[in-house]
Order: sequence, then C-alpha cells, then structure tokens
Amino acid sequence: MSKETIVDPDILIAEYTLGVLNARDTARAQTLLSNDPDCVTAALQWEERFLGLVDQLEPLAPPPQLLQRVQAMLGMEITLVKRPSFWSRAPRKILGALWNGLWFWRLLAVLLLALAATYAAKPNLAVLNAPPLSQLAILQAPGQTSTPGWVLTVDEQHNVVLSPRVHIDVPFEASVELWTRSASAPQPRSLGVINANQPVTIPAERVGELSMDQLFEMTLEPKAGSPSGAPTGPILFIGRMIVLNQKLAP
Amino acid sequence: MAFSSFDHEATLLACARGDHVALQELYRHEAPRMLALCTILLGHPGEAEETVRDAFVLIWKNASNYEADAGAARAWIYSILRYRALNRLRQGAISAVGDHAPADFPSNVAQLASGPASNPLTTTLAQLSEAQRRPVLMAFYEGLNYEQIAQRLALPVSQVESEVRSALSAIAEHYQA
Repeated sequence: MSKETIVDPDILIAEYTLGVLNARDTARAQTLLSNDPDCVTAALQWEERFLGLVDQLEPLAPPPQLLQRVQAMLGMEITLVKRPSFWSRAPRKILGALWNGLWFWRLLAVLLLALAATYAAKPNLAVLNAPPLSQLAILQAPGQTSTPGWVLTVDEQHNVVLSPRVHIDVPFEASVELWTRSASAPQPRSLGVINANQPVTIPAERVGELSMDQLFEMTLEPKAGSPSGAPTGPILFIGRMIVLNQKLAP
Repeated sequence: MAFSSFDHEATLLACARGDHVALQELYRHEAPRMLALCTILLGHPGEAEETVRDAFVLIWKNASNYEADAGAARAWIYSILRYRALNRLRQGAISAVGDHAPADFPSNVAQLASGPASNPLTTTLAQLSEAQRRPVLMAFYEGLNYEQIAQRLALPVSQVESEVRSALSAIAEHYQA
C-alpha cells in the first residue's frame, strides 16, 4: 500500500484477512485489531466471506494417522485405526466365486477325506508337541475395552512375545516405550523402546521375574525414550497378565 | 457457501468444555477441506498435513477464547488455519514463496459462477473483470502478497492494489445489499 493512500479500515482489514499486505501495513492492521473489537468482527466477517473460495475446493481425505498426531500432541487418548484383515484385503469376488462353485466343494470334500484317512492312521504329533500357552495379556488402549491393541504371551524360555493387532502412527519426534510393574514392584520398569507396529520379543533376562498380577503398558515418550526412567507420556496400551490353567482358590 | 447442517459453533463450544469427541467430530467434518486448502496453498502434502495438525492443536487450546458474538465459528477456525499456513509460507518453512507449481485452483468465470459450490462470493467474483478477480484468487489460493502478485503479473504494485481494493469493495457491497 502506498504511503499517500488512505484506505477504508474495512478494506484494510479485508486485505489483512486475504493476506496481501506487506509487513508495515500488516502491523497497521494488527494495531487496529488489537484496539477495536469491531475490527475483529470485520476480520471474521471477511474470513467467512472467503470461505466461499474454500468450498470451491475438492476435499482431500487426510491420512488416518493425522488425527492421531493431533491427539498425541494434545496428550489425548489415541483413536486407533484397525489394521485391515487379510480377508478384507483379499479379492472377495474370487473368493465368492470359489465359494459358490460346485468344483470347489468337490475338491474340498476329496481333500477332507484324504486328511481324515491320514489322521486316523497316526496321532497328530504337531498338536501333542505344541508348547502349552500358560501366560497371556491383552493390551488395550485406555477406554477401548472392545479393541485388543497388542497380544502378549510368554514362551517356554520365558521370553515375552508381543504382537500388535492395530496400527498406530507415532509422531516423528516421539517413540513408544514398554513398561512393566506389579503390586509387589509398583515402580514401572522400562523394557525398552519398541517399534509400535512390529512384533517384538523381549528376552527373559531383560523381563526378569514375572508376578501373577504383572501389568504391562506402553506410553508415548520422546524419541529416545523417557529421559527420567519413568513414564512421562500418555498410556497408549495397557493390560494385566493372566495365568492360564491356574487353579482357582476354593 | 456449501450447505452444511454441521453445527460448528456448538462443536467448538464443546471443545472449549474439553470434549475430546467434539474435536474428533470437528476434525472429521472439516479436516478434508482444510487439507485441500493447505495443499493448494503450500504445494506440499507433508507441509499441508503439519499445518492442519498444528491448526487443530491451536483450535483446541484456544476454543475457550472463541466468542460467538464476534463471528461465525467456521470463520474463526479458518482464520487460525490460514494465519498458520501463511506464516509457514512466509517464514521459510517452504523453500520459497511461489516456488511450488502454480496452484490448480478454480479461476475462470464459468468455474466460479456455476461450480458445484457456487455462492455469493464466487458469483460476485465471476462478475468482476479478470484484472480484479485474478489477484484475489492468487492471494487466497497461492498465499501471495501484493508485491509477489505484481511481480508474477508484471504489473506495478499500485495497480494490483487498486484492482484488489475494487474487488474487495464490490464483494462488501454485494454482502451489504
């Protein structure tokens, strides 16, 4: 804007809202906005008018993780995005055609007969040799009791094996840290920073002794993990271990 | 403006009361258009997503400052978004203003006047001369200021200022009529 020109304040506010002013005139408009509530109303009125140009644009679907980033920055509970199952990704038309086809059923019947004959002849050694599953925890996002986030099991060597059931997006500047605690050792103990979307095995020597009521939780922490050695960020997933085949007290 | 039954004001006031679900509803309703605007303004999907993210954080943190008497809630939301986007554009977060490919925004008269979301603003813009309309659209969709528009159009800054002010006056008259 040239120095000599005297511009209607409403037009100055319109120019400011549109974003065309140089630094000097932007400062003039901001002074007006700071001192005159009517100018604030005028600015919002212009912003509302310009929405007509926003509505000309074709909406763009944001990536599912963007809402999670907003929630993470605000320390809110993260809205989970369910991992698409194999069956939802498989070409359903082909499966449907197979399912409805006569030859599919004939072939299936032949295969089942062959399998029945095999298993009648010898015991199912694979099943007999499977290690008994004895300790298990389902980790869930706080408040989302119907959605398993991670499944935790303990293998024969007492390693803790964790497998994700949902996909989450972790902000670049953050990480997910796994913690454990129990009633007898209530101070959370870090089991390390983990990849939020990959299965992970925590070695038995790192896990240490597990109690019957062992609790596991994952928290959102700075990139290299909690700087204090204790959880600092929001809990993403939490779950208590249960011991299977445990005799109930009478 | 496109018809919408979404109650921005009630949702924003719910955000001010700390209602997390309200923020999700606002996000689901408005984020796609906010992302479209930022993508066209900043010319970079990653920058656009970060701007939308930052805007929602600011909307949540400042929701209690919103006063319905001062103006429409949706306008308040976009004032935060556009301020943030223009700052990012001008403070060097993007390599250089106007460096990205020219924005593919609706600019011709037919598009503006008869587009799927034609509204009083686009109707008025369609009635203006190309010399008046073009710099307004360059400012809004490309985030260019007077000097940058003048440079792009090879015109004196004073002429661009004059055309834009005429356009803004015509828009104001249309709404006051």
